[in-house]
Amino acid sequence: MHITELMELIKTRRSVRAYRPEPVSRETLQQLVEAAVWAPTGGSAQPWAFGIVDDPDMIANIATFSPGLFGGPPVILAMCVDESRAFKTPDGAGKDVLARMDVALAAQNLMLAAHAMGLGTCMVRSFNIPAVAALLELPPHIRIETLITLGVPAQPSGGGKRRPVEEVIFYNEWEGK
Amino acid sequence: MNREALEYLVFLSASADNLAKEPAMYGQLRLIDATARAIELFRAQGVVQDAALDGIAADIRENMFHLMDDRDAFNAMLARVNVSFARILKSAGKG
Repeated sequence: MHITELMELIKTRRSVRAYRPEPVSRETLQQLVEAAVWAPTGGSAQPWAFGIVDDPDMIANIATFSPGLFGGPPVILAMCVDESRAFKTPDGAGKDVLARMDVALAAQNLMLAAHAMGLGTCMVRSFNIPAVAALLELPPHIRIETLITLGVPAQPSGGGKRRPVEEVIFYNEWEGK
Repeated sequence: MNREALEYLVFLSASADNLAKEPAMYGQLRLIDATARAIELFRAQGVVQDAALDGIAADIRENMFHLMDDRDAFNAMLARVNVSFARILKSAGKG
């Protein structure tokens, strides 16, 4: 892939909040998770687990406890930290910070791969964590970090504004900004 | 149990719990979303069916995500919604 294609993919991804009802195949979902697991991960800990919810009743129940989840997606992904695989650090950063960063990187891989397939996604943190964990019957060492809705977008997404690169960059020292 | 009504109640209680950990501006989003959901619930349950209320719900649905990218458009929607409610309230009289 040429850099211009990659930049186009990155810059045209949008958070989708309206989906068509078409299902997403398990094969496609498997491919997306493969993209996720190739994300960078500190010390190769790979402290993650990815729940795929494609049962309509389960989706409805999770959506009910997720005020920030919109659009009737046919799939919800539960992006989880597996605390049993996270590094044990004295300050707890292994599971609280590093594992969370790993899952976030995996999420971005997955969302870009989905976009390349013509699928839409939206990362959702506005959900009731204990309630959704109970619905998924998660054991105590599996902690949900974020949900990702997935499906065929109902309409093309517009918009997308970002602060200019010149405004957010600094070289070597902050003082030179 | 009435599933749609239950979902609405859960939306409210989950929002109340979550908002303590979320950006303050999401409070506005949840409240106006709850307004649209209530209108849709009333219609689905046959409690109230009113074209003006449907128009308000449609306006909310179309513009509520501008909270993230266009605050002026979001605020304008809030103002329109409340003006519309004022007209409906006035025409409804004292009930």
